[in-house]
Amino acid sequence: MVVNKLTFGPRPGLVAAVQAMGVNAWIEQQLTRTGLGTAESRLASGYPTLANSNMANFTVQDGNGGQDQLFDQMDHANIQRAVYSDQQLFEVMCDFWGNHFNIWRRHTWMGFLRTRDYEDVVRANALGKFSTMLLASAQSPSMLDYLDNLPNDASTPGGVNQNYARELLELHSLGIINGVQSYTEADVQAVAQIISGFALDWTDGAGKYNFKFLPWQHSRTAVSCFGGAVSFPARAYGQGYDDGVTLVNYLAHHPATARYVCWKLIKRFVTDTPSMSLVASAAAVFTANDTAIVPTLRHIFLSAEFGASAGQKIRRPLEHLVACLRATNATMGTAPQGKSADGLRYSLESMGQPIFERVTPDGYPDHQAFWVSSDGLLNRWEAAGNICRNAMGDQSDVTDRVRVDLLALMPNPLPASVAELIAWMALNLGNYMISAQDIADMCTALGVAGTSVATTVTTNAGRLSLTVGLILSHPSFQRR
Amino acid sequence: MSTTLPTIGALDAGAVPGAEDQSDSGFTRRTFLAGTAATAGAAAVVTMGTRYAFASPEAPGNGDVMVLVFLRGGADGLSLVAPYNMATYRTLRPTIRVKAPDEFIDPTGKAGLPMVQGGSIPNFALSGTFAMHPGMASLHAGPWTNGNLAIVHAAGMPAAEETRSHFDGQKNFEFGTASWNYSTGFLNRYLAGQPGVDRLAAVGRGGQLQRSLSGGVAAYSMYNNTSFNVSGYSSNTRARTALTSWYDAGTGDLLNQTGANTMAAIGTLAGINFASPTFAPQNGTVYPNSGFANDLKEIAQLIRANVGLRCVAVDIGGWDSHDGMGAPEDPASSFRQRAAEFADALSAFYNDLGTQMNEVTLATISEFGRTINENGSGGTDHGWGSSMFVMGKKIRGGVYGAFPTSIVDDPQHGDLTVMNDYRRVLSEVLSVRGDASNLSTIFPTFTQQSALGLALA
Repeated sequence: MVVNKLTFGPRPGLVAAVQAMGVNAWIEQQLTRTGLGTAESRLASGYPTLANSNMANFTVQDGNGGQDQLFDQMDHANIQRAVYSDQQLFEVMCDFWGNHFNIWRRHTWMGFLRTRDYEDVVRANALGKFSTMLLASAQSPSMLDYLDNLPNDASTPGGVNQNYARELLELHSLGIINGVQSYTEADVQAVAQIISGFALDWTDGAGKYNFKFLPWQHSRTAVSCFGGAVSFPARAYGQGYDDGVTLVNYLAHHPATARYVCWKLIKRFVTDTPSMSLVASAAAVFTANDTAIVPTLRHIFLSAEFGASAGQKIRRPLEHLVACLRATNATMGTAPQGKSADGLRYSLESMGQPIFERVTPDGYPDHQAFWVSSDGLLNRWEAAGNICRNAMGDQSDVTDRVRVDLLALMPNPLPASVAELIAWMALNLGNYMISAQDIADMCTALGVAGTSVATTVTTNAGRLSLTVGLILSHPSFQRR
Repeated sequence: MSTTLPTIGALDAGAVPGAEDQSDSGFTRRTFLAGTAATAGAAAVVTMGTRYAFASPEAPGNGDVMVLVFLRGGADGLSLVAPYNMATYRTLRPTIRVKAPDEFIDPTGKAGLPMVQGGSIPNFALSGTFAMHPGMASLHAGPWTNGNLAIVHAAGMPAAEETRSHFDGQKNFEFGTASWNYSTGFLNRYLAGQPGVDRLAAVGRGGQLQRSLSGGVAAYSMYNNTSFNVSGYSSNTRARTALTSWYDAGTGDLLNQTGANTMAAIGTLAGINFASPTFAPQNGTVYPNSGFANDLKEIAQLIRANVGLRCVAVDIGGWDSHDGMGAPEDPASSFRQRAAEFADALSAFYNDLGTQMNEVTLATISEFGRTINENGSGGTDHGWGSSMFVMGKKIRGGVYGAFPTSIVDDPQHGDLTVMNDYRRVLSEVLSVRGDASNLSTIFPTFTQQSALGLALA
């Protein structure tokens, strides 16, 4: 259960390894990340833009490969990290924060900024301090571009653009929980003034497109908001950057922010409907640890509610796809624009969660009513079926395609009967218990008797791929 | 566990990708993002059924097919339907306002489209001076001129339930209430009160089901009509058998119930060839090339397919116009393109269905309108009231409802004050055209008001 929650789905053997070392020791190992994960070696070649400056990535976007080069490297790097990294909780948290601070990279022509945001804001802080991440996001050129703070010119009353200010409060920090909001429209307007001038450097040179405070766009009038808790006097020209930093730190440490962040974390790991008592206790830990994420997660993972939450969450499409790939020990090419990358990208798109393509700043939703739909299920099942019969994406490039070797996954020796083999697959590949009735239904569908020898399935490639594909399509595999 | 489909044939040894694979349907990320291309087939003569012809004996419902279009992002109702002579409108929107004919030597395609038709606009000092956005010429020339398009301006949620959050706002509109005590869609509650609802009564276009349709009545998300089937396995027939057994209706669990419903819907659609001339657009209609237009085209196909369709939810995004809306007179401006995408698709749908629009009513909503003042980026920020459209051949064209005599720039309750609760409009549509008698369940926190008179019995 814990493995299903803290990872993108177990690989064969992981659950046994976790049991051997002890669940709590494994949780600690996942919380205390050291060094890079095991997926990074796959990115040694073909991913230069992940380390590039904004200016260098502008040059890439402006060159022959265009924006697709940047986006394709981002996509396939992070899919491979999810599939292959041993730091699974870290990757899960990157997905979480990437959605919390979502940016649609096609909103303007400046999609090249998104790479640095994801690496430097999200990945650099995913298990760090929330306050550091919030301030990094507030100074992220990509975020400021996406949410229109670049044109937020509050030096004149008519020049204000509230977009970033509103989402900074509503989505990034104070939040709204079940309709309860702790700030006013006047606060939004004031924050838009305070944060005006948070923009980027347009001066030619290596630092072009990095964050810069532009005093000529900053409102210099006195401002007071949040019931007077944040107040700044009128400022001289050139002043005001520190006021913005003070504001962001105020927001990061606000009790409403602690509740909102913990509510979202509990939604991710425990249930669609968090109890306010767990939210409150986690928020206390968050606040007591100066917004550090690791102790907050530890508190949630050790809670009774987490312990009782097996199967309460529906895997989102990215989680489903990666879980299928991990359960089957799938191999794939590393090239960001190869057939493997394309096939996986299209599969996510068909399931309704194209990676890094959420248009709105709220990120992909994290509740079952959004994801459980007819079209969603049909596409999930199709992905599972395709992976298992080696039809995930274009298979024409023998050096770059998504492949599974199902026979290699089978136990040796095989169980005696087909029914026992199905039970083994559910437990060891799917990490769930399957009922005798569901085994019987599977046998009926396959047209084989449950008592037949297991080789009835394993010696027929079509039947084997169908069987494993269905194991990954069972209701229990859709949950975590 | 429920019924089991019969299995067929033996599995091919070593079955390889191919025969039953429907995954290579040719859509790509790029087409996903650009919207699906719509191709008009050759026109064919098809006799339209009446309501009673397409209601099956077990589905005696008398209501129209209700199509709910959600303009996601907070659509600027003051651009779609502009009070273009209002003083504050002109002064607070220096570049993005819809302009009067006298501002151009040759106003063709530039000025707002005048709306001289009747309607009832109490409390409105500027009667006769609304204009539709010049990008919406097709909607103006067709449904509006034919008297089949009703407009309710200054529409939305009243002050007590207002939010300027996209996310809470969309939820509130789709649940029909801002109360957190409700978690089902108002269209689903409408259907729950209808007799004989079965088969594909409720369809949401797209990969995820719209919240307006969520609830106890089976509702289906459909990305497109033709690919709605089990695919991807070495034997999809056998896979269907297993999945039908495993996803168990009646458990009260959303995942299981949805899986079971999906299998039933596949059975309903089995044997329907949407590529046949029967389902080609009629009356010479050519749908524009956009994802939204394709959604409406396929909805028209589902209506013709007689599969029990009663409610449809469909989305058109891209209305969060914080910057660069552009001048309405510029055909390349971003807001004009969005307005045209919206209007051209509605007009095509209206034209395609022809007389069948006697039994189809389309209504639009958006989570809020936008500030009256143009912001520093040539856009508008989150505001309050927006404009609603209701279209159908049993809809009496005109502008309805109250409208404020002035609009001021104010960060909270200025902007365009909501004078017309959107639920007042939809209550009339659902009761008069939808045969609803459970309005207090459909809109539980809304106190019913008199009908505006836009729907004909």
